[in-house]
Amino acid sequence: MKIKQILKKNLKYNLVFLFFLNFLITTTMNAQSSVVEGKITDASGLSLPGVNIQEKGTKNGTSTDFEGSFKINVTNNKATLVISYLGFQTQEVNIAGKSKINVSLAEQSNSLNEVVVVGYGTVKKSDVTGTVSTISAATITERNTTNALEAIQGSTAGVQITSASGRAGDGYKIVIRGNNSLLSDTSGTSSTTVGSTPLFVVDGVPLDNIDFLNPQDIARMDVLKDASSAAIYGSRASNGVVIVTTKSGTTAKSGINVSFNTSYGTKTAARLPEFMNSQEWYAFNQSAFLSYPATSQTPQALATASTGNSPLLVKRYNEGFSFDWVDAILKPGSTQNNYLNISGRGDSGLSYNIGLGVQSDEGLIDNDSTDKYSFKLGLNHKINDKFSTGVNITVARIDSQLGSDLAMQDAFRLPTLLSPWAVDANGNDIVGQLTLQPGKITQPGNATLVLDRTSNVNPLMEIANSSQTEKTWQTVGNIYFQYQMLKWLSYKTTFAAGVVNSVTGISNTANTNQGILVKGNSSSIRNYNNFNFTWDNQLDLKHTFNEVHDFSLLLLQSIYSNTDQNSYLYSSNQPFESGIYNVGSGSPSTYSFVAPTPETPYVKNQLNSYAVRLNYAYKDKYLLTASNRWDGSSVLSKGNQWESFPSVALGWKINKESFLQNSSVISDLKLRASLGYTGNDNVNAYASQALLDQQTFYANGSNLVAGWQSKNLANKKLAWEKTREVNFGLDFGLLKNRISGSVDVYDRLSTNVINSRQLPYETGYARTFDNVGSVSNKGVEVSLTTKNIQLDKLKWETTFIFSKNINELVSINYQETSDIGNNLILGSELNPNFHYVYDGVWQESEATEAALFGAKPGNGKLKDLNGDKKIDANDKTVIGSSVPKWQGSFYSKLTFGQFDFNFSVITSQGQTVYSPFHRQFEDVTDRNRQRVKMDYFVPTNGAGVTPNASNEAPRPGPTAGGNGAGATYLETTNTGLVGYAFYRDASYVKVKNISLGYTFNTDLLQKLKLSNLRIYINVLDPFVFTDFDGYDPEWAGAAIGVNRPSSITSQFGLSVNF
Amino acid sequence: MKNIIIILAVVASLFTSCSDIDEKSLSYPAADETYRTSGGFQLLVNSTYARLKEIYGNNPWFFVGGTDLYAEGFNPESPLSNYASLVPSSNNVEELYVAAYSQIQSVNKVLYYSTITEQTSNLNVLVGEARYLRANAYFLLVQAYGGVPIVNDHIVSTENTSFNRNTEQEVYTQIIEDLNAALANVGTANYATSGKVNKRAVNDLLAKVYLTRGYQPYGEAADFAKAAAFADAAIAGQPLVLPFDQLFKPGNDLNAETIFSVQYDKASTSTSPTTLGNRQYSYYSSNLGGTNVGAPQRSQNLLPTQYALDLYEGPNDKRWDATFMTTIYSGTETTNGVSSTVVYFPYYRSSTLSTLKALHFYEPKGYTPAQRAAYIASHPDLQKPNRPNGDPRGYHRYGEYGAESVAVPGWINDAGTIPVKKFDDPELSTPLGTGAVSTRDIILARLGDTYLIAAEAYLKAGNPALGLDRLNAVRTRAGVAGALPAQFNIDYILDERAREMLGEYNRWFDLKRTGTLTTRVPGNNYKIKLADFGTAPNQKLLRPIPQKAIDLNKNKNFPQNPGY
Repeated sequence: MKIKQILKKNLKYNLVFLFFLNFLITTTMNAQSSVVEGKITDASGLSLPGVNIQEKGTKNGTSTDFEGSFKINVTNNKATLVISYLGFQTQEVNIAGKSKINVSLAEQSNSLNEVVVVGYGTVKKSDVTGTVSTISAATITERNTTNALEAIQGSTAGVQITSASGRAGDGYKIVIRGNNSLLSDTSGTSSTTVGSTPLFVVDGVPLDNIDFLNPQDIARMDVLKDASSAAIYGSRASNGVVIVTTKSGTTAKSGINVSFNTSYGTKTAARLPEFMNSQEWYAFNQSAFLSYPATSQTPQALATASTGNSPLLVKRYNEGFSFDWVDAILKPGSTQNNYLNISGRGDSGLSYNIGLGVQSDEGLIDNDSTDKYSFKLGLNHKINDKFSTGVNITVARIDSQLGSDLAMQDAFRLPTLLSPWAVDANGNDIVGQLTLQPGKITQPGNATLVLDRTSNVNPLMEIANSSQTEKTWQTVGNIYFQYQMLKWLSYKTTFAAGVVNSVTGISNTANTNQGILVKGNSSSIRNYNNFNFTWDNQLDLKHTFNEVHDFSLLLLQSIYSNTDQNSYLYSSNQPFESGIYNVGSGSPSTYSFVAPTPETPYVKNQLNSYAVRLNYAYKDKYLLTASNRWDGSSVLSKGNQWESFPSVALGWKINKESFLQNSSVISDLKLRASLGYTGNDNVNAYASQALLDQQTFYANGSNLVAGWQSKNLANKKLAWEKTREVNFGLDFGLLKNRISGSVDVYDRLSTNVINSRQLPYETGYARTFDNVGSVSNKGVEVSLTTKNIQLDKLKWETTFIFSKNINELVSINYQETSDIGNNLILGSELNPNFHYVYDGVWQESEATEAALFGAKPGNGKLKDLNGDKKIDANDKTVIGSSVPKWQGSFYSKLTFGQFDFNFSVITSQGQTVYSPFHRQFEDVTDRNRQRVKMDYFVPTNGAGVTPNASNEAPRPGPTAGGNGAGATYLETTNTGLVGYAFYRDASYVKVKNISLGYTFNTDLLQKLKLSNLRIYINVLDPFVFTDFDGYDPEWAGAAIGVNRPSSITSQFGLSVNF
Repeated sequence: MKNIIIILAVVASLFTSCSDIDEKSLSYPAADETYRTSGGFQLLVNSTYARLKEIYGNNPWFFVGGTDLYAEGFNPESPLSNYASLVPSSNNVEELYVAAYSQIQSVNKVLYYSTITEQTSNLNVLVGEARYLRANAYFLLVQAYGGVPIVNDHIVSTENTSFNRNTEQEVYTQIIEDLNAALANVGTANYATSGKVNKRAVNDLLAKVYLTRGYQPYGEAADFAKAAAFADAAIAGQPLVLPFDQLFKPGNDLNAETIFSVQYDKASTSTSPTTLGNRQYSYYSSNLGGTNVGAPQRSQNLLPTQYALDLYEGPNDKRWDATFMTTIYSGTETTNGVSSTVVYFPYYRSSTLSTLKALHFYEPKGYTPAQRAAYIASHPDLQKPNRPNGDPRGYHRYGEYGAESVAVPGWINDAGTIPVKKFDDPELSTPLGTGAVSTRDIILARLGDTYLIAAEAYLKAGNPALGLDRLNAVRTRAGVAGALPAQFNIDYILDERAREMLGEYNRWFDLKRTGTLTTRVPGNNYKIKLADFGTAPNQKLLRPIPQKAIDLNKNKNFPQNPGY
């Protein structure tokens, strides 16, 4: 406590002190006699302000003013001026006695000369020593998606991006260079883990995701993949860092620039799995009611058992009834994207960027949508040569309507013999009068069920009467102040803050599944508030000694603070359908303030950090980067809070060596080698403190007595998770960079990996956070861009990307052997599919063998791996790989005259996932709901059902009788429902988008007073090649309630620059 | 240059030393500080009591699954009810293990803090109560799993994760030590008002512990006699005078005969209306028609077997009508201004039974055809359509509503078996369709039970006459003739326990204690055959050690029970 106060005080005084110093300190300039002046413009004649002009070989320099004019005193009239400007090729001009020089700078075309954002600064791309991938604004907007991560799927080697569920607004998951964190995804929907999410830094604000951003607001993304480049972010960088820079106005051109983009697209469900039709389902249902043994059952007995209570079902079957539920629910969705951007640079040194975005994404069913409104403002003011300041704010409003978790799954669950309508006395549909439970039908005036099947609710009513909204305000912004004290020394202070306010409202009227359960209307509101800030103070020192030794040094001090607050309200039995807007109207006895999955009402964590980084280049050939960061985290245990994260990286620009300097083949060649350390403290803020966080209730007589205990064992020794990574990389450009690319190999070892570890039952505790072991990720990444054709009218460029990562648990801290209880299998990947192996169905000819295993013909068969004629824990093994074996992408862009055509393909190969879709729709123990078209076992019987000695799926029917699938077919575990028979290969090749555009020629535009106009059509996800027969292989692991069918989006759009 | 040095110095001063960063939770207080106060210590003891809900409030498989009295219906039961497919990794096998050790650790914490917390006059009483709870947890563990690790440390570190099995004998010694300490310290307040462990409850548990150990090869000679003495001490001369139908009447859980129970309170469930109650009410019945016809949800398993029903001497035994819902009524009720038909619960809520409609009737044993015809004629609301034999579907003949009728072709699930009503919670605000919602108490020990424990203990201790006295006290209250000395044996006691305590959470342990599991279950439970118990049937008198317990234990030489 004391320390915190002292620290606070220190900061306060220091800030004030610095503030005044800024005004006190002045530097002197030496007057020179020879004066040169001039103007710097770009190729089109627009003046360029802020261009650096330096007399070669001296420290003498200046920069252009806001009209692009400069004036410099030079030592002699034969001096050479070096003119450099961000994004333009550096030029050297000999003044040759002239006193007035106008220079037109050419824009940089060679991508290797661009700058790269590396955290607290930038370096020239050619000087980068780590592995950093830059994604340009053009790439981010090319696919015209509403989510920035979807936009860059497949664009970067080693970066795995997948859709979470296909539901509008559910966002994307991103993993860089494999999982190395064990903290599991609590929703259990995927093989990736929450702890494996990289750190996003949006304009200085650290965040978990960037779903709220409008892709059009993003100027660039820089992915720090290897530990040496990420090490500058120390404790949070273990999973890589994605630095997102939004358009701030610093690069705005003078005058005013206006552009407008708009597109509209429709989205239709595609590649739907094939479900049973009425006939097939009826046959399935019949076979599921066969008795055991089935030979003695007569057709009459079967009819009584299967449909005795449901005469209406028989009537419908005989009439050939069929109702297409899926068709009734699904409708075309749409996407809309409107974006207006205004930027400019004024005479006073003020530049700005304003962005206004409206995006909407309507899902495939009603009440499934996301609307995103964004406002962004960037202001920069270069006050004079020494001072500059700026502010950059992004405000986003996201309105998501997630509908009911049940609607989509119920639409697929209901068999086609069920109808959404009530029936009249003759059993005919009363079209227009919806019934709430289509599987439980009575006729007017008679309480007896004439159809008695599933109690699933009518999705048409569920959709109309249930609502789940998430309304979020999210703001990120920063304000900075920079002071260039000397040519070689600058100071910058940046205060960056993020605010999230999110209200999740769920309401269900009586006419929903929830309504049936609680007998009336119910609603809840969850309120989430987050405030975080980061205050960075940095000093940058740059100097060149003896013309060959380039030094730059960064000194950084930073503090970070994050506060979360949660609250929850619930009631039911509300008298009116007031949705979430009158929760208090419910019956007081139903009031609840604890969410079904409770969140900690208040969480605060802090990080104090210091960092230093040195960049050194010798003769622009040999590069060295060395850095260290010290972080102290409040979430770790006393004594283990501080850790340092050093890194060192070397680069060798081989093409600058004399033997390659004149090569016509090799135009660029750089070798990189790096070693770095990063960390991870992504655990609950109070994991190392024993708190009374579990409330219990008991009564002693008539007295209600509350009690309090700790939910989990507090780990008083919880320490940092630390990752060491070695990376070797080669960047190359051949034939004047017609062929360019890079190859990286890495070896990453994470030690003291933090896991929510399940403790032995005997301890009486369920879990603790612990440093459990070491995880290795080794991989290779290749990217190759070739400019196949480069003519005036015809240009064709292609990019291949390949990445392979091997993820392996190499050791466990507390024991030598695999910890099966925590699913930590040595030598296997993290979160492996560890289970029995499904081996088909016991056939009637195998009855004797089956009996040895306590099974009967028709039951599911487990593979007896060790051949001991017994199925036990020793027969479990790792099934397939839960992570992709390799991933790749292919991108092609063709420009012909005014036309442009591009497409991208992404692929992910070799991952086996537990498929909740198949668990739901291939589960033969469920005889009341819709099933996918499949082959299943039917025993020899006397009841007139055609036998089928299938080896695919077991005999239909409840496991209760021991006749159906077999008792362990649907084995549950403590971590949720997991059936061994439902692992599927989810490899796929997906054509991500195809787009065709036309840019109108200038003559026409000039008449319209436009500078640029492009129209285009774009198709998202048009083709998928896969053996996975669920909804979509990309989200094969998504929970069934939120799982959405695959879709194809067709868009038409235009973009205009004024 | 000087200025720059100043700036650098200032910036350097920002680099304060690397000291700890304190961040306090504003939501939850620190455990250690709180438990050192007397108020905080009471919170710990309260939550230790609440751990009983984890043991008893959820699934009942350990207590009643796979016995002679209850069998599977439409919904599958746990593998614990089905000896053939029971393996260490089966569902539910770990539930009792986890809940019992959670209780034990909570008691360990009570003991640890008792020495360092603010010392009050009441402290020893609280510690005694806690030790009773620990004994109860170990007693459940040793009966279900055999010799289990005795873990009496207050665990604060993640380092010791290796545990060894103790012998059954050692566990019993531990239990008796805890109970003796409890007996010396707990109070004597009336349970119905205090709701806390008292000497009577401790005596009752001691009786059960000694009785159970007495059957074991390592049992001591005096165990049965001690069991009888402790049982008599628990009875303390109180006669069985409450009418049987008052014992399980909703709202009367804390009656004069309740010795110990898991106590729920309606008020506490508002924070989580669907999870903070218990589920005892939901078993022992087939589907009652579903929520769409206004019937409460039932688990559709643990249905009373015909064998269990046959044990009763029909409605002459007052326990028949008090145990079973022999008529299912429907009536109109108004909730939130909406009137709707409600099945089942109007029986409790309506002041005038005569206005309700009888939907289902379960014929008592020995009804004549004439009585049957008369009943049908006078009850036109019985569920239709008619059965092949001409009875309305709502009329259930004796012999056709036991669990095994489920396997009869053409059998209809809804209300197909007779529901047990002892645990019904008809509170209006109880949601019909959700999980654990009953806030009735779960009665673990009551006077009638203690009389039968005494009967068994005296029989085994060689004093059958006194034993028969205790048994007949139970029968007399039920309104049936006393048993004869010639009839009085273990089987008779087990039959009587079935009649007296149908649905209460003890049957599996009764059969295990008396070693009659493999003889009484096959055949009487239509799902279970002797062959299901395997080649060494008595090995199934122990449950398997949960596979996950073995997987999580660092000690890889932790033996599984034989037979699994």
